[in-house]
Amino acid sequence: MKPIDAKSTTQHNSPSQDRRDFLRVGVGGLGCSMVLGWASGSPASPLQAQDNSRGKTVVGGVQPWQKGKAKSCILVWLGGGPSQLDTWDPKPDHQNGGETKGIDTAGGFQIAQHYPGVAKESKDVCLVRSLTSPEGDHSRGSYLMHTGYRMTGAITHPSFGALVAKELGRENSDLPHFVSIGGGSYGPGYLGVRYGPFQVDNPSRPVPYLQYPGDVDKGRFNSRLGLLGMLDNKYLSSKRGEFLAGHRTVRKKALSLLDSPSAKVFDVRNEPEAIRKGFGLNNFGLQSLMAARLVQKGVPFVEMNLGGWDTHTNNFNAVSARAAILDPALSGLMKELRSKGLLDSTLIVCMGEFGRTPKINRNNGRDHFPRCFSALVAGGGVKGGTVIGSSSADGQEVRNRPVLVGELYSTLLSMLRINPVKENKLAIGRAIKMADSDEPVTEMFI
Amino acid sequence: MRSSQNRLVGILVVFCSMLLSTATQAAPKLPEPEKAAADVNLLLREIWTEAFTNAAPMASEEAFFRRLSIDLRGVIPYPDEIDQFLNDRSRNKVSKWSAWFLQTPDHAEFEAEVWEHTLIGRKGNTDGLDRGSFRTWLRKSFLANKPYNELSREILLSAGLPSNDPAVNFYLRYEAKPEDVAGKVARVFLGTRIECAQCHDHPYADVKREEFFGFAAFFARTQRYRDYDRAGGDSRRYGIRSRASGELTMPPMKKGHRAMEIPPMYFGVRYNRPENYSPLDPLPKPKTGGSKLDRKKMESKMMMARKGSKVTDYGASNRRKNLVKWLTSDKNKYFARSLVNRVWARFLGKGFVNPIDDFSEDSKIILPGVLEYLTRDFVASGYDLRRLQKIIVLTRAYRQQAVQGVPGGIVPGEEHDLFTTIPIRPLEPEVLVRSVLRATGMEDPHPENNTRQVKSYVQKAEREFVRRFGVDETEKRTEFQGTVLQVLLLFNGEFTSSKAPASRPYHASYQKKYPGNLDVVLHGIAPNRHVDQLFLVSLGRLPSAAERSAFARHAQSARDDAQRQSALADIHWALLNSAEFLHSS
Repeated sequence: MKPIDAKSTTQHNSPSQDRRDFLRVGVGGLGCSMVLGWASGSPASPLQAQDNSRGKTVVGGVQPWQKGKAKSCILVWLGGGPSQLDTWDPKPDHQNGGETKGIDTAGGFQIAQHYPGVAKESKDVCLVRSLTSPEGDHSRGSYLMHTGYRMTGAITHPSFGALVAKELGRENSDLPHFVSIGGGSYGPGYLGVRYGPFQVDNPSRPVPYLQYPGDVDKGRFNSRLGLLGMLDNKYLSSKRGEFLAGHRTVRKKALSLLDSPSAKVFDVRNEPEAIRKGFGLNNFGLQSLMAARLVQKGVPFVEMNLGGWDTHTNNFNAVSARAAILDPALSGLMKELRSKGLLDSTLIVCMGEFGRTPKINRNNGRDHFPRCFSALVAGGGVKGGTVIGSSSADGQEVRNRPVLVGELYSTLLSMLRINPVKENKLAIGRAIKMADSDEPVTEMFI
Repeated sequence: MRSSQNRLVGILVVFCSMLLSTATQAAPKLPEPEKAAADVNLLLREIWTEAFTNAAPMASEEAFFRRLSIDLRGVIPYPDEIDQFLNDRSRNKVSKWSAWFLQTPDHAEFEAEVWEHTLIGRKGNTDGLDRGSFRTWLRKSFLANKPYNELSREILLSAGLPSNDPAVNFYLRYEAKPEDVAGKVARVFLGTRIECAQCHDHPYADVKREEFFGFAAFFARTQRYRDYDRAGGDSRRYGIRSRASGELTMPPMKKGHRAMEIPPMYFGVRYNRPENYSPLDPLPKPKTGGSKLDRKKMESKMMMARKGSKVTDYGASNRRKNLVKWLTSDKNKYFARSLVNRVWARFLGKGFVNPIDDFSEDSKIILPGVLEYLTRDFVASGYDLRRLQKIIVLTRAYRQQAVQGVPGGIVPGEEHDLFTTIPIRPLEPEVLVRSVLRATGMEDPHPENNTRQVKSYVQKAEREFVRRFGVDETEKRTEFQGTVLQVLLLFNGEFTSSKAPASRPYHASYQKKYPGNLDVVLHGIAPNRHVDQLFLVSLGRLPSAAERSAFARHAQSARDDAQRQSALADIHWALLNSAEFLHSS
């Protein structure tokens, strides 16, 4: 289904019309109103619904985001800014393409020759080749691509993971809602640290502090908790308030994680080599395996991190070496999720802070280039085997269907069945939308 | 509007309706801080009486002393200090002790830490930024009790390399980008948020995009440069310098609009001449007051700018000097006021204006009289930061018990709370790590004696705590911010754990002084005494009778020294994990 055109949107956008639309949807279609309530975490009020209907509607009054299928998301972050020409948008027929050749894929499009594994999985892959961003600086670019908003001095925006953790995290889960493996993610910003990432620095080592200290066993730990309880009961009963209640809640969660068999999920380093091999026998492969395991356990957002893409010099050696790590990890992840029946409900997003200059520099490298670059989106109900937009033959410009970062975020959130224009309230009284755009790229998933 | 405020017992007043000009008054003789605090107390009592409310009962001596140490030095007190304070019978002991805290190097270090976070944030790095030199410079400044206006001037007028002028780190942090610097300067030094006017007219306050860019234009000629050494090689150092020319261009808001150059404009001065302007003066409203002529002038200026002609009449040669003169002037009472508000909020958990950097013409002010008094005193004292802090800690509002919500239903932070409660607050990560190290005897009062082992242990602790407890400075401090990771670090991390290897390098004198510590097994000392020491060293108080007997029982169950040590370690662990330890109350 396509969005109705702008003209008819305006016609339907008078406030009274909106309310009537809502009544029709909300009362007539019970299913829809339940969806609203679920996604916003509270019963749908007429006011919210009115807000919801402000974005682009599709015929029938159903929002694009209500067609989202994904329940969890894995962000494969490529720090440094991966070259689009040597990954998802090769230009073998142009001098800017350099040494990199293209290979055919199951998805019907070509990608760089370094990715035979991904090529095989490409029927579940959608490429966006017309991303465009104004930020060519590492920190500003990372911020934008991690949050969907440009960096301003005024507020710190939550990262993608924090947004999803807040919307999709289940209270009764033992495991954290947002796990960041290998560092490099961004924080919860204005949402507050409770939505921040659970940091797993190194998947090949035990997660620190997840086991009792050396000479403390379960019995001794419990007796310690007894002493602690004595102190806290007195203190907490003499002082009231939501804030200390929060202290209690978090402590309870920590204890349940300590005792939980689910916490074994972090021990992927001990899995048989035969399994680990499918992801590449290296640190990033372990990250990928851990991400798969976490999603299997119901964790809604995992971010993994592969750096080394800042290829100002010797681009072609570097990108092929990186690809040797990324290709098995990414394709292994897709295979594993598919075999568990989770690929359709798990959105995989692979991107970095920007692309790289199509023109090869004097050091046989490529420099920062945010004007036109690519992202890979897989699983999670994405329309596989599709390419959104394209770059010009030399890669210097977006040729058609430019996709702004805000629109990408709007799309990804929609695919996770999160209303991209839902507003988060800030302490200062301002409200900020989940995504900086109300126009998801619907052709990616509808 | 007026009537609704009166209903709120006349407490919340429109900002501009309570104006007292400090600069025009002859410099009065400054009262002693004790007298000033007594004056503030009179004001507080008057308002509380009028509102039929009162402050919570006074905090216990122990709780108060712990709070004082945390707020002035950023760490819990030593047990022997607690003994001395409790045994001090003099009437002015709070005054004495706060004066002593305020002149310690610990205070300067803590103050430097707080201001580093305020000015350049806890996190974030940019090319050339040298946090170390910035911190050292701040510490030296606070150790000398440098007046706040001077400190601000030095920051804003800084130039050169960090090695010559460490204050340039402020600009380096924001890459000297005029928009970013302007937003930060307005926030820190004027207590106002104007950044959102960067993209659109301010939704609530009366700030137009032109004004934001006009303010930012003061920094248009401030530039970050890369330093090259004599051989022409790249030294990878960056500095800050001023250019002789350069204008700021306001990007168009909509397609089809043109970008335009904006001349520098003092913030909030659309219809007035800047030199006459004081931010405390009520702004003439565009519709009712103001001179149409001025407005026309302004518009013609903007027209000129739009045409690209050079604007020369705002001190183009050194715009920052002009800005700083205006900003730090005694007449500019956003400057002093926002500082007073900031410091008050640090001690009382919330400001007169909240959020603390949200001053505007119609901000709601809680107890405007008190804010006025303190601002006037601050300006008259020559921007003396220590004096301000001393007065605040001597007020009745600061000395009350901390309660998080009282049975009557008043919740701290709400508008009708006239500082009759003081909120319980989680310790800042840096404060927490210092306190854990102090309570476990891992902090040595004489750093020069520290072995490499101690240093690396301390550094690791700092890294771990700050990383896992790191909070965004913009968040409300009264909101709960704990995470599972933090709890786990305190539960199972080595810093609170019983794993106390023999190699754990205690300072000998420290051991002698605080025999309750983890590794010290003292023969022939009753468990009660150990329990007392552990409470004192961690919570700054002795256990209640019930606590003492319960905890001593745990220690008594031990059959040998090793077991006894484990039992004491368990007790210490429980104390360090307790809500009471983790919060300031």
